[in-house]
Amino acid sequence: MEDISKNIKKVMIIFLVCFVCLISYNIYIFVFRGEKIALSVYNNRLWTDRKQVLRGSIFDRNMNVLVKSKGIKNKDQQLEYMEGKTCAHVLGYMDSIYGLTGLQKLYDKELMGKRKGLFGFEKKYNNRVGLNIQTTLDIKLQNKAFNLLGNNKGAVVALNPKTGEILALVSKPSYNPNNLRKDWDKLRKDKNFPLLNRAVSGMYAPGSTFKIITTVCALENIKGIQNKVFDDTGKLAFNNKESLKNYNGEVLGKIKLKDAFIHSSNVVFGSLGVELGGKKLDETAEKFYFNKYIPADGIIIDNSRFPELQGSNDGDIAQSAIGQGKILATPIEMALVSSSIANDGVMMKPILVRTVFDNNGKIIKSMIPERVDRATTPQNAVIVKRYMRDVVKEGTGKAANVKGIEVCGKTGTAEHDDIPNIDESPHSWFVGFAPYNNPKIAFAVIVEDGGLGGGKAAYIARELIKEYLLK
Amino acid sequence: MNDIKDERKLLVFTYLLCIMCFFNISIVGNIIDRSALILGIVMCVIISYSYIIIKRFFPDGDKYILVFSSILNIIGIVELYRLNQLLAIKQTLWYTLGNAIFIIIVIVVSDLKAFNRYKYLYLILTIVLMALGTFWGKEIGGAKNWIRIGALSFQPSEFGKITLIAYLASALEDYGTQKQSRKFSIFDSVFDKYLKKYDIHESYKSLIEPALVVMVCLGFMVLQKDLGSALIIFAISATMLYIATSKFKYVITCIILFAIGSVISYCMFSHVRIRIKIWLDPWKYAYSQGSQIVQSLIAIVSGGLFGSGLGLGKPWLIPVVTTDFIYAAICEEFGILVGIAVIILYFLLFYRLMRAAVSAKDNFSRLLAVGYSTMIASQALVIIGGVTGAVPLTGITLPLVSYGGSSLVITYFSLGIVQKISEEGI
Amino acid sequence: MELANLGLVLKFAIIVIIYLIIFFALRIMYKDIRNIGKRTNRTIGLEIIKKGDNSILRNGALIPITNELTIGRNENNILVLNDLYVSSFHAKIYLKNTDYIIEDNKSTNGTFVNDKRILKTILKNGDEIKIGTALFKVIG
Repeated sequence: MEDISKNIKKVMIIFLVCFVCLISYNIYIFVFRGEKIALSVYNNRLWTDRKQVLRGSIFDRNMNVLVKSKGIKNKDQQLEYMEGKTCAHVLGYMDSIYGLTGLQKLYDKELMGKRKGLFGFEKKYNNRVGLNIQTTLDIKLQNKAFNLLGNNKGAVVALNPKTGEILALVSKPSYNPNNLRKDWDKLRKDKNFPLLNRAVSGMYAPGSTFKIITTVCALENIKGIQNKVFDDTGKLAFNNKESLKNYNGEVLGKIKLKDAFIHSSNVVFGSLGVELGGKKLDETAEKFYFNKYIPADGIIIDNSRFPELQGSNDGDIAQSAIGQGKILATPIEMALVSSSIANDGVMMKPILVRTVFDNNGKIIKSMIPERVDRATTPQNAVIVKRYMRDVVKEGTGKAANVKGIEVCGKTGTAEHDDIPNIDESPHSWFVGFAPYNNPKIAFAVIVEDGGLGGGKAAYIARELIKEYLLK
Repeated sequence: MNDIKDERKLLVFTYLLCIMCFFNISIVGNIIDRSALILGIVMCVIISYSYIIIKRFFPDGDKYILVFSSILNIIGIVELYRLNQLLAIKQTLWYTLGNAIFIIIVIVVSDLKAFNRYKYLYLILTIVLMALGTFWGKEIGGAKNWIRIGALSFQPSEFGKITLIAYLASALEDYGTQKQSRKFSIFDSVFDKYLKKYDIHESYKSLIEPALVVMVCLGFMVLQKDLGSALIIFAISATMLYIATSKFKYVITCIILFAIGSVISYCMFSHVRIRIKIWLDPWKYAYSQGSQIVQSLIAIVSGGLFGSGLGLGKPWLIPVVTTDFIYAAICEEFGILVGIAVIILYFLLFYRLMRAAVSAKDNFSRLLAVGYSTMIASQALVIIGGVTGAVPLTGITLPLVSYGGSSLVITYFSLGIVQKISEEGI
Repeated sequence: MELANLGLVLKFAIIVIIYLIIFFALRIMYKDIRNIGKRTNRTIGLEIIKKGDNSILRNGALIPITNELTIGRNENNILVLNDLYVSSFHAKIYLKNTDYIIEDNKSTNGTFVNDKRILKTILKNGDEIKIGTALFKVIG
């Protein structure tokens, strides 16, 4: 055994490296994953804090209280939801067994009174009260939208196109968060998934509402497309077996892009899709944040999906161009598409929270509107805006018209086959904004199995606009 | 002579630490908990007692081994007291016993290197101890290696590690020298014919027997589902082999064999697969088998930099917290800074132990020192790694800190031997 | 609330102490590593002041010591003294850490360092060692 010291030194160095690695790993976990781990659902430590701090209340934009704490009794705290089922999904629940969802989860820190993050030094004594939140919601609009959906399943999203503030976010079927524990088993087993927030997580084929994006794609890529005359024979054939038809086989004849849009011609848009190709459609869809994570405040939006069409046949591309096939969109995505058009092509970040303030009224945090991205040019936006106005004035969206207000929109009748071997009514979509000049509200309405877009969804949209702009 | 001043300072700080920790614990409730204070004073007395004996009668030896191990013990007992007072008191008793063993070894053992004669005794003891768990063991917490005698339960494989190291030290000490002939290896006669036929290098011969013994031990460990001990045994053997032979390629061979063994056991045993599955993504199994790691991670992170304060955190939410996961409780209440400090302390202890190996004069002592140091260091690395999710979780204890009579006794036994070696050396 | 504040103070104090301990321990480790380098080169010498009755020695000669020096009448020693007052295995000088130690091996007439009879002691530069009739001085 020669040179023992050298050997031992080598062994020591190896062990030193191991120890250093272990220390670095500890530091890495602490610094980079620390907050996420501490906020995890399995962390029971925070529950004592949550229960011992008088949880902050949540208000709508006009300071109507939506949910408040019932007080701390026996080391436990329950919340009272003033509006019951209406705001269940967007506000979320806070339960020590079932966890947190919605705004209760995303603003958990503030509602618990932690101002400086999870590990900041908090003075022990003024932490017994949480901070309050003023949302951007308009409870009157929210209630109206909830009632308008009636017994149907679906969602309504309404936002301010210029600021991104969410005015209403409704999902049906809903549940009463005041009875969460009592109803939990029933809710879990319900095949209609009442706990799902359809507005941000429901995935539907957008149907003809997607033609907004196809139009933008055409405007951006094909020169002079506005003046092109199409021959709509009611049917677009790809080969002997497959073809695309207009609704009810309607033949629109020789028309330009505007009429195709107004009357929702599948033939014209199908052929446009084939002409543009899957790649260009994909590019435009992604400019509207399909396949992308949409940043938002106070809500988490699932990614909408535009399929990879590389190597697909014409039939599939045409289907995608009219919003069928494998495209899936959340209602809020379509609302954002509409709001981008309303806002001269700029998509604003959807925000749910206006201010965070303490019990003395002092504002701790104030949210400022933020741009997500420019989805299209102002020129193209204006053109599509005009088309959308005409849809309501003389096209498939007449049911949405409100006297005295220039409503703009696009209908969608989305075929879907979720249950095989059963004929299902298509989903009824209506997306749009109002008024034409200086839009104040952009929205998306979907009524599951509701039939024609110009029917139930358009009707709901009309009533919503009346509620918001006329009262 | 500055050394003496540094020693003094370290000792003073240790006393200070002990007193402050126990004082902190005592004021956690609304009234001052006197038993905590008494426990603190008892610890200080034991530390002083051992230190004085070592200092006065055996001043040549290493003085810091006792200091570092005491500090780790203090942190452990304080946290245990906070978790379960009864266990803390029991742990203090074991600590006293451990210290006593430490001192007895240092006093009684006069010529360590004479112990290399009992190679076959160690061999038999090792095999017996390792096998005990497989055939008579009870399964506790996923590992079948506990033996119960009356009210006491202990892990024979822990004692087996000690004898294994002694055996390896005596088997490997003559590697590369001409002294092979003195030790009659039963394999010599059997293999001589074959080895001569294939003209295998002399030195391999001496490695075959230890290699087989180690593999048998590993086999028993895997059968007992004690994968942590298997890993530790591997680390000890590889290190001792390297020190003995200076040939890195033997270590590589070891690693390759171990890798092959692990893959085989992964395919053969479902409990190995489960451990790896949980390690890769504990959050997926957070309600079932992954809950231990998940709660541990949450605890470690919840303490923040400076900890939640003794008695103010919620370490009882961590499963198995008094033994395997005590590190998580320490991080939660003392803070991650102290968690890192504990890792550094283990390294410092390891350093002092290896230093004794450097100064040892004969190979047997040297290998013993290396073996015991590696045993303690790798145990600390493996369990802290497991608790934080860096390596798959295994059921071994954090030496000196976790609650565990057998663990403490064995660790102090090893420390005693190394202390003796440090004394005999230059 | 007094107690809560005290708890806070103690919490920090404990962390500080632990890191002070680590700091000092690391300093010791650092010094130690430096010394290991020093140690392997340490040699001292024994200068013969008075050779006494030893015929083999010469006054003024310097005996270098590296690691170990055994002294006695027996010819197996490194330094053989044929003085009658010297035992067969009289004494030993060896290196321990960074110091040289002289140890008397139960000799009949004893070993003297600086005129004091010793059993075992650390040698310093300039020490005078008397064994039998010979007198040496430590040069280091």
